[in-house]
Amino acid sequence: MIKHVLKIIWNQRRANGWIFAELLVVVAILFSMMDSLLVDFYAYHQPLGFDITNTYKVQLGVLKPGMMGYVDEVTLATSLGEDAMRLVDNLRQAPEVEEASISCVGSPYTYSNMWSSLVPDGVDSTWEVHSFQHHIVDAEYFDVLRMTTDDGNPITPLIRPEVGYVLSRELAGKLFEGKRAIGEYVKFNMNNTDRYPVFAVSTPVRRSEYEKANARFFEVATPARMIDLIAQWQVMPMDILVRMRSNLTPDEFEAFLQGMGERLTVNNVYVSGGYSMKEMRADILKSREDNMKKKSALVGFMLLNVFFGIIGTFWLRTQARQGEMGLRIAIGSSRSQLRRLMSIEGLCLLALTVPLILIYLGNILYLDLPDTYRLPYTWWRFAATFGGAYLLMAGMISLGIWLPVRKAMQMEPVEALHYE
Amino acid sequence: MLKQYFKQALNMLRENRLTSMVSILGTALSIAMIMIVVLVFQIQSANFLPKTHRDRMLYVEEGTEVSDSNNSRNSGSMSVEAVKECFYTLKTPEAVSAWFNFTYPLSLPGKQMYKIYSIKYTDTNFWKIYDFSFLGGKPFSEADFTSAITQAVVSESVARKLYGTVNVTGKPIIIDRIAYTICGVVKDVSRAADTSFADVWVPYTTNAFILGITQMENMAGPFNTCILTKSRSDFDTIRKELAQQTARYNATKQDCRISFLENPITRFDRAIGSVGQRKIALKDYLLETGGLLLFLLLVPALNLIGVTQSSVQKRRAEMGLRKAFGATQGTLIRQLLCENFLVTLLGGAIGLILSLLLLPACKNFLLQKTDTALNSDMLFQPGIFIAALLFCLLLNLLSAGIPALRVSRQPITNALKGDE
Repeated sequence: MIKHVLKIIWNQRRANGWIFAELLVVVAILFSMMDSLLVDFYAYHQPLGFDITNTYKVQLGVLKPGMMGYVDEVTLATSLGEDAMRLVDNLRQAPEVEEASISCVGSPYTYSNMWSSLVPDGVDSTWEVHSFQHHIVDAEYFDVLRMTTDDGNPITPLIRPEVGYVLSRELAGKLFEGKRAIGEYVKFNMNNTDRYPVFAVSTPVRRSEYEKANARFFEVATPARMIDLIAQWQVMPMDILVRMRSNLTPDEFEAFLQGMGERLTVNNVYVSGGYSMKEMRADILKSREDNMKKKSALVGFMLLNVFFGIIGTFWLRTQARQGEMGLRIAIGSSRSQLRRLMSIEGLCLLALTVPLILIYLGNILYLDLPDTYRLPYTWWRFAATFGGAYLLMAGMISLGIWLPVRKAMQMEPVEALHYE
Repeated sequence: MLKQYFKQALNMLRENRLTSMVSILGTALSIAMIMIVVLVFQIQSANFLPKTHRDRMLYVEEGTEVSDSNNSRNSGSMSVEAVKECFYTLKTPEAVSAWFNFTYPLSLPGKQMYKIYSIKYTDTNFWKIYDFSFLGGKPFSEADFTSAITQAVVSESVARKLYGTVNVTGKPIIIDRIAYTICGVVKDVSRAADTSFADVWVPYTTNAFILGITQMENMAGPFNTCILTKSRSDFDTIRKELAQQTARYNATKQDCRISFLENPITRFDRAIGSVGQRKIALKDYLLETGGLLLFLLLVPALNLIGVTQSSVQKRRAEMGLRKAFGATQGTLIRQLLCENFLVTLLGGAIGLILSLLLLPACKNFLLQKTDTALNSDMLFQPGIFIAALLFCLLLNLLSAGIPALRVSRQPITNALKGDE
């Protein structure tokens, strides 16, 4: 049967050539796109390491001379840092708020980041020093973002009232290969004499849904250290994150802040604005998600084209071959047999692309074009994308053949033989 | 003659409805996708309000780099001093404007609010370069600018949100605890107008705080600039003049050097994806977008070749006859191309309409900025009709060229006999 079909395809090579070329181009591109969509999809659904539901970011400002409500700094008994900390306390005490935190470059979904070197205490000079992503946070930070240790317990209860560190699983693995990191000490560089304890190891933390987890550490600052830090860096780089007890719309959050009234100003430090982390997330992920949608639109375009191409070609072909069909019916072919013959012809054409596509795959793998950083190239990845691409194509081809064949089938043998 | 061709083509379309429909829809789909790519480019580059002379503009946005002898580098924007030394003193341009954006909440006296808006801090030249349509009031004046008088121009939607009306000239508005007076109301600006987009426009002299944040010997700061030239031929002169100014300014500094990289860039550079820190070469853009366009043309063309091939083959006898009576090869090719062009044109028209319908639906993932308002200026430029026609012609040549060539080359005897 297959041999027979192949012979038919070969005899019609002129007309089949074009449709074969189209199938080849489309399968190759469809396959590549399915692969990149699969990697995105896989990465997207991995755990993030933090949770931003009901979480909002609050922007702080400092009153300057000439602004409304400015208090002369000379008359103030408290420092900028103390005022900022008190403001965060005010937020924390509001009944609508579950927890509030102040951190330096601690907010997820921003472009700002900080990198510092970190080495385990007690290693010799052969240790290779690397820089890792660095966040300075308070103890409440882990509650606001619902971060947990590897075994799923909350991190905040593990924090002691001294400066210490929480490492991500990747970093703990890099610094203390195989050893238990908790109870060990770390320092900023070899020559430093100050060493700090490791409080906990967190689950892997990622920058966003589309990125792989990277090694990072959280410096847990005591309130005194945080106040020093604000004195040094001002309030601009500080991230105030607030977890609300319920999900608020932007208008409701606005109403909450307005309801706080005077509590949002402490001396010269004030809350100047607020927005939900969801909005920030949408901004940061936009280009990635747009890209995915564009790819999906292209996949749709290609599939529709294949559908049109197959309908057009097979329609003309069944017409041209009406004589042959009539003959087949006359000598006893059943309609379903005929339909099967035509479908197999289309699918065979598709199957002929397989060797060429495998060569193509071998080449792109050799050139390392597919994204193997976020997802290694495994058999299941190959099966999912290769199978997916061919199934989609086979579906489109069957649909495209079914229509013209159904029309041709309606003809009576006598009429069909007329063409012969 | 042409009339005859079209009559024949129309009849052929009617005769074989299914394949005609497939050809027309296939063409429409292809042209629609191509036109969307073209329209997206057009939105990034075309002239529309409030920027009527985008083709005569030059930009330096986030396109500054200041470095010192230790090789430490600050990439971003420039200080107000750099603006004055290098840009305001340029002689060739018609106007030079400097600006920076910041997000702050807007409030009313006695009612503190927290929703943040985009505030543009700029100078009076901004109003000469951009042609805003004022619904009331006027821009802030040179005197307001020099004396840092807190005057603000607000967009229509801000005026409605805060006061419920557009008659707000003279009313107060508080931008992050500083009281301003509204001096004008303008029609909302589309986000596609990137440089001029904002919710509120105020003199930059009124934000001493941000003006004061400078680094690297007072060279790096928050500012971007845009230049309106007298004619496009001045671009190079201005670049040369800017290089002289920069050299002179650098000579006044001890350690730091400012550079504007490959800036200022033109609107065209920006439309093909260049940003301040990275200029995209036209070659790279053509390779990428050209590749996409080619793909969008090629897949349907392969489709159509198959269909045209089959229908042309059916008319072998007719072609043979025409040749026997003296028609040249050129005449036959011309006829087939003309006939096919009718299909392409029909499909192209449908495709163009389809693209104009699809673009608003898909604009959120096609354009860089969410909530971009589209207006007719952006869409209906004569260029797109020409582009659509051009791509139709190309598709026509691709899809009908080879079959036409082939059938017209057949020896008369074979054709008359009906051999392949």
